[in-house]
Amino acid sequence: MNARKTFRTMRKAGILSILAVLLFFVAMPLYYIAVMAIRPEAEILRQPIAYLPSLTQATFENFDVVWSVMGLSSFFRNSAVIAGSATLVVTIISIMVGYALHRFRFRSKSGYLLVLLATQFLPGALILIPMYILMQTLGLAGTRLSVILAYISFQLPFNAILMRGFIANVPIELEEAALIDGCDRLASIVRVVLPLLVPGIVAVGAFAFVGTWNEFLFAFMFLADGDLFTVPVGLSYMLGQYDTRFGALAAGSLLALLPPMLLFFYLQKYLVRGLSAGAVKG
Amino acid sequence: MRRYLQVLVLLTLVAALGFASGQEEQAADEQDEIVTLTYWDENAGPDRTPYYEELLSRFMEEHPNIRVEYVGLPWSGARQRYEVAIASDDLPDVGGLAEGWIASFSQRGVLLPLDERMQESGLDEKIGSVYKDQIRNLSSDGRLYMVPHSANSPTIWYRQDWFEEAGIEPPESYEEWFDAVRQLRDPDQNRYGFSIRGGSGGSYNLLDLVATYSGETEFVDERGNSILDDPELIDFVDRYFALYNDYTPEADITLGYRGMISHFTTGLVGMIHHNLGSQPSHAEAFEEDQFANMPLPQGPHGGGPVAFVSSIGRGMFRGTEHPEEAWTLLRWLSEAEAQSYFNEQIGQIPTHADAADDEWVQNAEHIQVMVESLSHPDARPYSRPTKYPDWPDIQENILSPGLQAVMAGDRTAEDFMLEWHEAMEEAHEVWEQQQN
Repeated sequence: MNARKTFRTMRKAGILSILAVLLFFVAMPLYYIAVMAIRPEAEILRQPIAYLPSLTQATFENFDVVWSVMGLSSFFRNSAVIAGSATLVVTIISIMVGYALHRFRFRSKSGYLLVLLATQFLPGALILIPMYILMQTLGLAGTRLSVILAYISFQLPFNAILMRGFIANVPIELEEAALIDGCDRLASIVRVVLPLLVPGIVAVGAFAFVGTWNEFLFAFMFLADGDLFTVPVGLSYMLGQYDTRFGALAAGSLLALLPPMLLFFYLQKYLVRGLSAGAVKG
Repeated sequence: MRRYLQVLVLLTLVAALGFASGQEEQAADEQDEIVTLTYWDENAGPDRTPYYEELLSRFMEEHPNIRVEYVGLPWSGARQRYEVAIASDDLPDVGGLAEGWIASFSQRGVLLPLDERMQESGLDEKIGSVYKDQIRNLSSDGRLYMVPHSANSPTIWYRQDWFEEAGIEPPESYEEWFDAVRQLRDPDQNRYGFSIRGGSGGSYNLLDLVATYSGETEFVDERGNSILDDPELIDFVDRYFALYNDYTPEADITLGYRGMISHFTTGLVGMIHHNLGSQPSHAEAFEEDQFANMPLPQGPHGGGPVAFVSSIGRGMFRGTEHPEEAWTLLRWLSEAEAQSYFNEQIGQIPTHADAADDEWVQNAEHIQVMVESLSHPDARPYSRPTKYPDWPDIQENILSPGLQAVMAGDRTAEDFMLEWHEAMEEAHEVWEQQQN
């Protein structure tokens, strides 16, 4: 009995120590960004590196510089508009595509699924120039809409496949019952499927939002007007050829992390439910 | 029939309205004739953008018929942004350029040649020929595709206070320099003599070393023989990298620009090999008498000092619909007043003869050190081999990994130099074939 207990304790300790090592690699950069953000700019590069924050020197100047002087507040607004719109459209269309992929039978359905999957293997940089030319031809280059459209086209395939999995977990019998009770297909989707799909909608929305909020390359290439820059694009201007504002960059990165982090804190319960839904199928 | 008539009347009305509005637009255009130009800044950021905005607003005040849209690109992504613009034919009218881009851009016909406009406007006489020659040398057809506005040169930044403490004079030869590196090493105070740039950009420092030690201004001579297999030079390179980890910090093996600056500004090393561009960082970290700069030491070649001079500038792009206005802008930005204002803010050397005489240039000690060295009667600028199409490949696959392997002790300096030697002779041959 004792031997078994010792074995369990040992196993637990082993797992915890592996997790602790992994946590160190994940948390250390975040921790150091936070330390840099509250350190005066002149102190950041001092050798030897001080890993602990000095409370006597702590300053919020970097936050002030990045927010007011560098204009992070306007980058935030732009990111919110672009990521928010793209997420909304991606989520709505994902439901439609996911529904069709699971519930309907049509020719070359598996081929279509394969194409959706294949789009995920294309690196963004490869289609950057064709996408730019496309936006230019449409007269959209330099507008927020060009970035939103690019994000939708990137996010949609993966999220539609993800949504298909969630829809598979909603019993078709419920829809059939609604149809018998007099609903048409749209009403049965809205009244019966959607309420059961909340974890899926949250998961898809969260993936799409984080993906679009953090995206740099397309926003950088498509937008030229500083008033339209998103957060990652705006922060990249702090890396000059001969001068880098590490403190402001750290403060900006920390602020940029907040929306996705808060979103995940709030949506965590749905996400766990959403991702494990369908793991055990009756 | 009546219905057809109604449709006809409606169509006529629409057409008439469209025509009228077109006429109105045309009339407005003729009245105002405001031309809008796009300007791309290749190194935008909080330390440069405000000065550009100031300059452009002054320009627009003087030229009410020209509106300039400023687009700032961060240095890290500027080249990529240009590449996308070239591929999609969406280039600006005028834009900032780095010297290293000229070879590729001119070969692809992206830039408009400026020689004639320069001569006609009289600007040609005012811009230093050493900078223009360098740019012509880099272009595919020997023409001038960029008007340089800020010049830069490699320099050794050193801790003046440490030198005084140790009783050392700024070294002029590499032998004196090796001694200084050794003398500045102080393990008790965790001080190293120098920082070798082993990471990104390290290959350019190596080019400086080879040129200044050998006294040669070309890496491959006209007959196609590279200078890199000279045993004396190989021995020098070997001694240089042997300083690593004894007289220079261990972290040097992956050291890039930012790491090198931080080694210097935080008091870990007594000297670094960079250029004038890092002056604001040193001025921020130290008191005025704590640091200074000097030209790179010279080898035992006996000729005049060899140095590298680079510049950044601006060019006009193919496809501009307003070449005259674009040239007006480019010329205005290249004249003495604009150059002087801009370079004073960013701490670099103006290329315009009149701006170089300005009081602030005369008082800027770090600039004067380099101007004095470059104006030595026998001074010779050397050319980096960036004109070779194979250069990026050599840099990435031979120089960068090679110098790290020598530092780590995995390869001998001789083995590395001979590989580089062969690659350069091959690259020269390829280039020559292309030229013919």
